[in-house]
Amino acid sequence: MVLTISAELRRLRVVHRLGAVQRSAVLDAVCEIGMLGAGADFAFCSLVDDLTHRVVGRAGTGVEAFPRLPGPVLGLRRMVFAGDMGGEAATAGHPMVDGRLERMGAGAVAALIHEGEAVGMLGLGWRRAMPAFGDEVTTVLRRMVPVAEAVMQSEAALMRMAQEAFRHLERVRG
Amino acid sequence: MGRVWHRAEGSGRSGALDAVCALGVAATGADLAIVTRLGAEGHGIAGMHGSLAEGWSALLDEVVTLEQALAGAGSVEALTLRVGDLAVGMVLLARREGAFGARERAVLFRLQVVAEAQMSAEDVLADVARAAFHRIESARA
Repeated sequence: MVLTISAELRRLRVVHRLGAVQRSAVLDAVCEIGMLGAGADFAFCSLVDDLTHRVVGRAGTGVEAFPRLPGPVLGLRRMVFAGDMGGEAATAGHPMVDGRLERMGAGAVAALIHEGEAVGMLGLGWRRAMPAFGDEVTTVLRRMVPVAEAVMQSEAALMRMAQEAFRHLERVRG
Repeated sequence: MGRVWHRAEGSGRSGALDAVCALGVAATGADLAIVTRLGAEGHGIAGMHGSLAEGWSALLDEVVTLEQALAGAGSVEALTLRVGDLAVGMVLLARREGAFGARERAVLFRLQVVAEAQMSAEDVLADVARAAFHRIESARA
């Protein structure tokens, strides 16, 4: 199954401002909480970076990227639930581990928003198909979103400050 | 566990730490999650969520001991929050009935990581804001 990207959503601007956010132990921890809380097999947090969803947090998987998605897959505050992705393994919606497809039977994903724009996604994955998603999946995923957004915002702000301080030092040395 | 709780200062409460607590409650089924910040007078509430939170808000209007505050909770799990070697607060899960299991404890350890990072980041940003403010004030004077 391909996660649908509507024409409207394709117009969402790919945001590079958060490129400073790197793989983070804190985002790994957010993913692990989500995975444990929702009973998922794995969880991930991605940022769009140059036409690729770069994975900046993960648990239960070595997933590194969703390399062929042209942008954020979701609109503002929408969540998408895909109960059976097993039949079509080689789709754009599947994550890559060391260049190989990660098996994903079912997935639940939510958009991550920064300053009003979708910048990435948060996902819970199962290696088997899921006939139905319980309320706990929806609740956990919904609660993960503001935490991941706050972590990314903090890390981006600290990185910007460090870069600015470095530039200032260089000017003083100059 | 006998420290005195006090009303959180205006700058002590954090929306991001409220969100961390909400995630903790959703992931463990706890009735209450709290992140505290340790100050001169004891622990202040920096983040809180759960069905027991309303009672806590009322309690925060008074100075109470931790034992008094947790009197209604059946089981409690807590971890110290540290920045470097310094204890800066606590993350706590409470439930009216039933004990926490290994899965909930694993979540609590991850909540500790997230809360410590968020508190550190907020401290740095607050320090920078304060320094900028002082600099502006000095320039004006």
